[in-house]
Amino acid sequence: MDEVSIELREISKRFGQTLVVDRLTLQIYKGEFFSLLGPSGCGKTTTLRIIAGFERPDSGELFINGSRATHIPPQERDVNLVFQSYALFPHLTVEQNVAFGLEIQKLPRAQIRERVGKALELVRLSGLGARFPHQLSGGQQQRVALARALVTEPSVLLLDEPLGALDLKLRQEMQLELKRLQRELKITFLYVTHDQEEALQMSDRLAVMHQGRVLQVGTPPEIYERPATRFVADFIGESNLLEGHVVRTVGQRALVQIGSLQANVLSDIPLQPHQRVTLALRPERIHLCPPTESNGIWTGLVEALFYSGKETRYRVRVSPEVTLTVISSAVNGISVGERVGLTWDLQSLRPIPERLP
Amino acid sequence: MGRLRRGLDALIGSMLVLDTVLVYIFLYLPIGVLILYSFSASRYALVWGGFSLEAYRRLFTDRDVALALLNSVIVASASTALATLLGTMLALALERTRIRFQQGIEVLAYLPIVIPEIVMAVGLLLFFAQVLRPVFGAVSPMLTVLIGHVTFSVSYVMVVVRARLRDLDRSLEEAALDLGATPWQVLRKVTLPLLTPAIMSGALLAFTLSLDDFYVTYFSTTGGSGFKTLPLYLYALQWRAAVPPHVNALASLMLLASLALIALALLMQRKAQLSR
Ligand SMILES: Nc1ncnc2c1ncn2[C@@H]1O[C@H](COP(=O)(O)OP(=O)(O)O)[C@@H](O)[C@H]1O
Ligand SMILES: [Mg+2]
Repeated sequence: MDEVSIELREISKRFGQTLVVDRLTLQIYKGEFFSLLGPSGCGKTTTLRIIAGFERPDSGELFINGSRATHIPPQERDVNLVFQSYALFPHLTVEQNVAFGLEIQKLPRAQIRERVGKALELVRLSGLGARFPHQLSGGQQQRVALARALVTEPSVLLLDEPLGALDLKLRQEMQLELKRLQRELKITFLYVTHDQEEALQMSDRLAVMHQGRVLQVGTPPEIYERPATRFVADFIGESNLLEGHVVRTVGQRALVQIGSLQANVLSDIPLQPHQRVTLALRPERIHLCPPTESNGIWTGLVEALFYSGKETRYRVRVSPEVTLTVISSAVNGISVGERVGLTWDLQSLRPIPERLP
Repeated sequence: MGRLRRGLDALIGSMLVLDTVLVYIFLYLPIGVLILYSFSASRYALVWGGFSLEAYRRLFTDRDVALALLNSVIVASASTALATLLGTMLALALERTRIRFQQGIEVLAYLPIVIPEIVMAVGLLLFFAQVLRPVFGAVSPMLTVLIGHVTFSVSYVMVVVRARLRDLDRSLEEAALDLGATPWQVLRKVTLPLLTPAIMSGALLAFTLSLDDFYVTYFSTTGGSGFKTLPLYLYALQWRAAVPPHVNALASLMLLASLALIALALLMQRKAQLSR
């Protein structure tokens, strides 16, 4: 896992006045499933297109498998892109689509036929080789696009929201398929998505992007449990964000004042007294209890309640200026207007270190 | 009130129908008469003399007609081939590359469609008389006609091909590049095959335009050669005291050929749209 497959160094790209990719630095290791996660318009596609060679960065350097690739034309890069729109050749059959890259390499006919057959088998499309793309469903087209990109055995596969156009069920099925493919082939996957759940489920590591910048890189638990910025805390899952200042610190512990309330925080970043700090608290990490049992943490008034079957979502006012969202899967008979106590594990309340967005 | 209103609506409705019928009669009556008279037994084109296929028989045995037809087909085929090649290249250049003076070149490429044909024709006449002949000496009239037809056909081919090229999903060409194809291979294996229907309909258009062109052909042959295409042949017949009836037959057949070509072009466009 140590060999670097793709490296971006301080890559920037402007379209007219807008800075679409902003000093992007990333290292993606060989054989890993790496996701680029961010909201629509944050520059994910542009980043992939820079790696594939369709856009030239204004500054910065790109390395593929250790050699400088910034100015190498797309046809000479050892990466294949699965386009968001699939971009299947409409005038060619499924078989011909998949064979395209191999024919360009002028492989012997028998070998092409064999590898195309294997690739179609891999994506479970054997038997549909003679069809044209417009005779296939969206999910099948998606698989053809995958087979076409995989058959030439690139060292990196770039996938641009490959499941974006599929309905939920097919999507979940394809997520498993993609993971299986990646494990079997041991190819580096660089996967672009705006769906945080998808990114968390599928990735070995992921980078969260916002306005052309990478805000945080890490494994899914690292990103979810220790969001580095307010944006990450809010975009990945859901967070209650609390603004306050440090009252005092004792070792790794700090007491933080949030309006009229106080909370104990366990911090792995250095905090100074009087420093302003934002705390993130996941709604599902808060437990509701009778107000008398809350052990000196907070109490509040249930203002609203949304029941959705597998969970219930509460809005609890804990002080005139602070309300918390709480998600609970327990059936506890709490109703609107009731007073409740709120508890959480100490390490669930996370100070956010950076002043980035 | 209601009844008056309904009556008025009905009246307006029937007037619209009548109007439509009149317009169509106006448009197609002359053509109908032409076809009808091509089956006339009379020795004169403008007199009805009972039904006969004589005009067609005469048409198919007339050497001058055969020669004019041959000339027309040669010129149309050659100019179509050239115009299709040049027009497609022009469309690719304008749509897929960034060239200097792009806007100026674009305007120049469209100009032959909008300027009156007679202006083109006179321009060509001057060009042949003042430039081509002084430089190259005597030039075959077939060649000058060919050059003339290419000049106006190129623009039409370019417009048709370019429209399709603009609709073409760029990511298809990028996907080919991504799979290792060189730009030349992308052109050959992806862009051109996808453009084929448009190129074919552009070619058909060029062929049709060439077949029935009069002005440019006329001015490109002035200089006293006996070179005639079908339209020139027909025109020359008009000057005889008595117009022979096979003029009608010839015109009817040309109409039929044009309709067939246009139908073919439409069919191909439809097919291209379906396969998208
Ligand atoms: N070719 C282009 N010309 C101008 N602006 C572009 C171009 N491509 C993308 N953009 C802009 O760059 C921003 C990022 O786009 P993109 O990389 O597609 O984002 P994402 O894939 O994350 O949704 C968007 O605001 C988009 O409008
Ligand atoms: Mg995108």
